[in-house]
Amino acid sequence: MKRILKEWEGAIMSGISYMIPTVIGGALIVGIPQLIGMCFGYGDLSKFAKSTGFFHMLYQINSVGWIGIGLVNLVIGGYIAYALGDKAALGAGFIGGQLATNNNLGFLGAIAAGLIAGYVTRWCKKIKVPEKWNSAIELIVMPLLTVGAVAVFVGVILTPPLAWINSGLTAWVKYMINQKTNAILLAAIMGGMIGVDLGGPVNKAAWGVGNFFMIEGIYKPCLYTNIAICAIPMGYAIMSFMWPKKRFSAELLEMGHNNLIMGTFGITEGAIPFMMKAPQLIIVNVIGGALGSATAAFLGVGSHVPPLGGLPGILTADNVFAYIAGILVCALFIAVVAPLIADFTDKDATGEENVNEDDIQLNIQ
Amino acid sequence: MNVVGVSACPAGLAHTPMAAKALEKAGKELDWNVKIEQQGMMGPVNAITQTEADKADFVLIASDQKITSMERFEGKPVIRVDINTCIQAPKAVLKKCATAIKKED
Repeated sequence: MKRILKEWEGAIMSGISYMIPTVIGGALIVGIPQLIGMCFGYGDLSKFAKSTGFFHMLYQINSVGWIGIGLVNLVIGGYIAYALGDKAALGAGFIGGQLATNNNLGFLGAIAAGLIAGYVTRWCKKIKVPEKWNSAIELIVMPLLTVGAVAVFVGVILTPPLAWINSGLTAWVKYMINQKTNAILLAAIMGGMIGVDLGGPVNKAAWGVGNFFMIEGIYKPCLYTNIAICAIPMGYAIMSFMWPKKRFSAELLEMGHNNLIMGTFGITEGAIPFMMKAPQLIIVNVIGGALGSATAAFLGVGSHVPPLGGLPGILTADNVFAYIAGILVCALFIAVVAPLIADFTDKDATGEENVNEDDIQLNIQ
Repeated sequence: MNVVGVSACPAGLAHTPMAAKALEKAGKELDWNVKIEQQGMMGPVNAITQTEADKADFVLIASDQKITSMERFEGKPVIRVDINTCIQAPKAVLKKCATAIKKED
């Protein structure tokens, strides 16, 4: 069972890794024309759908970005299937992902479709037939069975429960973010998750959930994660400028300065070298992320366009003060507290690895 | 010891090169021949050729994700290890893998 769950996690992470460029590209191409429009006082570009000229062009570009955002389920379904069943699984995975969009099954539907497509493909590969039939199996029977399985299982059997779960989940998140206390709680959880493993599965799970709700037109969860993503590396950058140089090894001092760029563009991975030096910083990152996002939620951060990440997110936030305050609270918390509980100098660098060899899990294939 | 491997993480930005570099550095310290391909955002970096794969004693996959071009390693023992463990304790990982392979033989 544990092995299967590990395999699912690997497949879902593969799907997410293929989906990242689609969602980021889509969000940028939606956001930039929207911002240009806002500069001229037009918050809603859709009224230029049928006109001509500059604003119509902005509308057209904006629509292309929405295509990207609309493809997210398709891409994730396809590549989860690919991770499990290789090329032969892609078709069924793509179709299953789009099915999730069309039937309002949300990201859970896309994940379920991808897993089903992947496993059915694996099973199909085990079919043994005389060699002369091989090409027929690959060309006709595999696509029939894999797409057929997606159609039957996801399209028919799982559609009612998945649609019910998805609409329930969406309604619940909407309810949460519209109530101040619950919004703060949700923000604290999502911001904290971002700090847990800085780009690892927990971080990507929170980020993924934020983005999946963004596709549904709910932007706040995405904002909550974006604030923590931006603020954690920013915290280490501020720390490296704020404290005396002698508190850092030359390497970490430079990493700290580099985190200014990482924070600006919203790449939490920038903070990893610090966590590697002192694992206890995970607690600081989690508390910092939770504090920052919760502060922003408390001050009523919001957005009515798909939010951009990092500092450019300031431009798409409705309440700029809340967004900046969230980032500052988290970043300053980390900048002040991290050097108090961790030693960033080379002093104790013995080159020894403090991991017990028995704790290393090998998976021999 | 001749070791080849592949590292990959969800975003393909930070963990991937960090694990690859950590393992290669640990290899140098052990005086082993270690080459790790990075399958990150930009596709394969520091790619492993078929000749290199053929020479390897074992294949180390620092990821639980989908790795492309696995057919290069056919017939070789393939070991998957969590990418974070590879970053934290690259030397211990390499040593443990080598012991495990010897036991298999």
